[in-house]
Amino acid sequence: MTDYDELAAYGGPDIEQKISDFLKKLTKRKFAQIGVTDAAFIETINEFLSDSPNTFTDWDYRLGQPDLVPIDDNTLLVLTHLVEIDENDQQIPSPILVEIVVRRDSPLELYSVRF
Amino acid sequence: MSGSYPRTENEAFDKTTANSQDRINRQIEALGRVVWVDGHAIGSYTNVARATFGEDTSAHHVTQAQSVLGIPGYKKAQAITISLTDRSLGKGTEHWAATQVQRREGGNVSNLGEAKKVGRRALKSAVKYGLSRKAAKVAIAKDKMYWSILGHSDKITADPVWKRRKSRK
Repeated sequence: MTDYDELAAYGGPDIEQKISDFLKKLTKRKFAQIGVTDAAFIETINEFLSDSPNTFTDWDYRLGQPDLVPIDDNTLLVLTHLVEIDENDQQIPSPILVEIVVRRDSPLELYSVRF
Repeated sequence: MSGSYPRTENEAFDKTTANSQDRINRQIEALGRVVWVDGHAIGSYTNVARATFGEDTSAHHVTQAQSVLGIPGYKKAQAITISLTDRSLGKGTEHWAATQVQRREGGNVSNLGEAKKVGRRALKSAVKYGLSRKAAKVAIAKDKMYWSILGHSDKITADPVWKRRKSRK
């Protein structure tokens, strides 16, 4: 079973797209929901995101090399880093690591955002 | 009898490489098993994340993953990790203290040795916020062993993704 198959087993066949969309919509509110209140950290993330005036419009972010940690039969923890795509379509990993919880038949959940 | 011997040099090389990789995988797997020291889980990211899921801790890579992603054989799921208090980076927690150092210094390293030093300084900083010295020492020792198993010297080039991004600006 490839990593993608394992991911799809928990989140459905379109899970990669779902996660990609989810990452594009990371907002301050989502950070606050997981308790990220460190102003310097948020500022750094915002600085990173500020390359695009409208979050991810100009920069193409995709799911990059996720690591999958099955927690139980219904829960999968996904560790990945945000990836930007340069003008030559090369993936450049960002310094930002995110952990996302994928549960069967449930919305995606942000678990942590960090360096 | 000759059937048990490699027929070509390439075959011999492939067999040696495969055996060697298998040994490395077994060693890394053993090293990644979680040990608990003063309430901190230490092992591979996968095992620590699983062991501490749902707790107010963060699985912290001893050597910052984003500094060493490009080093051959490195996998952040296998790399040595320690659970530090507060996965949400609340100010004043062990993980917050460690990431302050990484954020400041992680993008400037040029080789593995420097990346390891940043990792050690990050854990020393976390000690000031509650991490026990014993747990920090065990995590650093395991991390050292991880890199030793991979067979890299401290001089191997590290190419922090952050630095690469900065250089594009």
